[in-house]
Amino acid sequence: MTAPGPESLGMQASAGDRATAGRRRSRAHRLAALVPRTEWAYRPRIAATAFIIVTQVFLYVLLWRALYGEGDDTVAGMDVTQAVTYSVLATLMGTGRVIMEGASQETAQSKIRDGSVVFWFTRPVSARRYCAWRGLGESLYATTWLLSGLAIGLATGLVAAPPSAAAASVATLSYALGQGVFYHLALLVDLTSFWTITSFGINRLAAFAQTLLSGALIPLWFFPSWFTAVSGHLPFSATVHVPVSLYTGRIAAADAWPQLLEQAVWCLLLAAVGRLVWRRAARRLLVLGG
Amino acid sequence: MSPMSAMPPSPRSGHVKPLVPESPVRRPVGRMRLAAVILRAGVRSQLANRADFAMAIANGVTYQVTVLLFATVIFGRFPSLAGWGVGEVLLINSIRMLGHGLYMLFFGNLGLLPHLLRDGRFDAFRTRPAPVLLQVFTYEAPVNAVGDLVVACASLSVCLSLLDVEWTVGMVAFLLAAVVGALVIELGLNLHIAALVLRFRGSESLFFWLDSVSGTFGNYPLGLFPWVLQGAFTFVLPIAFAGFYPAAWLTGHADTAPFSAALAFAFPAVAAALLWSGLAWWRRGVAFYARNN
Repeated sequence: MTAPGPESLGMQASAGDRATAGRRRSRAHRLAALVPRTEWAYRPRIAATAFIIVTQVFLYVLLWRALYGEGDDTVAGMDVTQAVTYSVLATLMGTGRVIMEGASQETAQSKIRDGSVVFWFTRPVSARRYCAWRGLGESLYATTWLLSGLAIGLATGLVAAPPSAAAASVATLSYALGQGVFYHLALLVDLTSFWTITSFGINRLAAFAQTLLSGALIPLWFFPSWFTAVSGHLPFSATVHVPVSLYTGRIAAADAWPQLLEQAVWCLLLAAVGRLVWRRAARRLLVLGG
Repeated sequence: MSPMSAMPPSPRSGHVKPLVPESPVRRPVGRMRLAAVILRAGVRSQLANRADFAMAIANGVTYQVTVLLFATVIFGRFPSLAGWGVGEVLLINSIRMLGHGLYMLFFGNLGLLPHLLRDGRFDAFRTRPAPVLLQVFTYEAPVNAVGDLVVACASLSVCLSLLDVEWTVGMVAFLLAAVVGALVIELGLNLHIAALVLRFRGSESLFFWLDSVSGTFGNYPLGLFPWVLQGAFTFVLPIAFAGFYPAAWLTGHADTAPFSAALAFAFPAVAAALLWSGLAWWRRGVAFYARNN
């Protein structure tokens, strides 16, 4: 069946609802706890995530140290400490996210497949806001893993501290912007299932682009210079490459502003497109199995 | 209705007597035809969404391209890889990727176990008179394995053009055995993880972990890594037998292999042991699941 338009399904609050809208708004933030609480319900998943992150970090550190060998050479503008730190942080950022994507079933694709997507549009909170709050929770949860990994890395000496306080602060700002870009990119890919029903293929393709172009697998600096230059201006690099390069000092804190500006522009642009797509998606909502 | 419900009673299930013992589907040829029917139905169902079908094939390609790119970038920046040439390292890659492509083709659906559990399909499998594992393997047409195999074959042909090796019949047979070994090793390791998933819900990310670790670290000469990793990839998570050790013999590097040159010939034993242990774990996992669900 094709559901009615967003107006009748709670995308906009009706006059009766408006009286309690304020109270609802104040409660909506609790949706951010959804992801951490779901993860907590499956303790083995937390144990598996910890195991994976620890082994991945350990393996990549050993790989880069082995590749650099005993010498103090600089390859593609990065010394061994920077390469190891870049790799550890990128792994922490990438792995945590991938694991959650696989585990969580709160995607438009899975919801459309079993028909439960209708609940997104019958709740007092609009689907867009619901996903945004949930995404914030997901991001905070992933950040907790990142910070724990970073703390352990710093304590064991595997990860170097940022070269200056300025580098640390621009890296933090850049990470926050990167999380915004990441959320909106993933959302746009996921929302395509409103048109295609199954978006497994496009999801995997986007994951491939994300892994390759964000620097999550191989530091972008190691690619040929034209590739680094092009991918540096794509939104994917805003999610991992830019914050990590700022943290390691490969991009100096003084040169950070154009990067931060570009990240902010991507974030706003993708958010605007996302808003438009949400509106269209709600109009052509298809509920299977109802 | 799933095509598997048309499956005849398995001789191993015991409790359902076939009405017509000489029914043609009970003969091996009949089973092959049945498998072909299931595969055709699976492909048709995936063709329902053409774009997604094309992308599923493309995905096999893209994933393996990432692996190759990683290797290429590493090569470009760090040319000396423990004394191995590009063609030689590509042989490690090719053996592992061919094994992986074949694994995805025949057994890749094992990775869908978490979804089967969540959707309740696994419970339906347990009520049917056919081996549960067979039903898992034939659940969906493995379209993206085609992409995996395309890249693996491309990698092998590039590698063969770069290698300066006189291929004898024995070496070709060894190479084929090595690919089968890589397939069985991957199956054995994934069966262990599947058993864990049956026991500990939420541990499914270990499938991703194994794929990622063997995709990233299974492609290099073992001598590149410090001894901790050499030991780990030989004795703990033996992915070195799914590429490195057989390739070491084929390229004449066996004498420089860590631990012992004889390990180049150990992959059939390692694969058999892993498969045996994996099946034992799987059976215990299913038994645990049956007791607790």
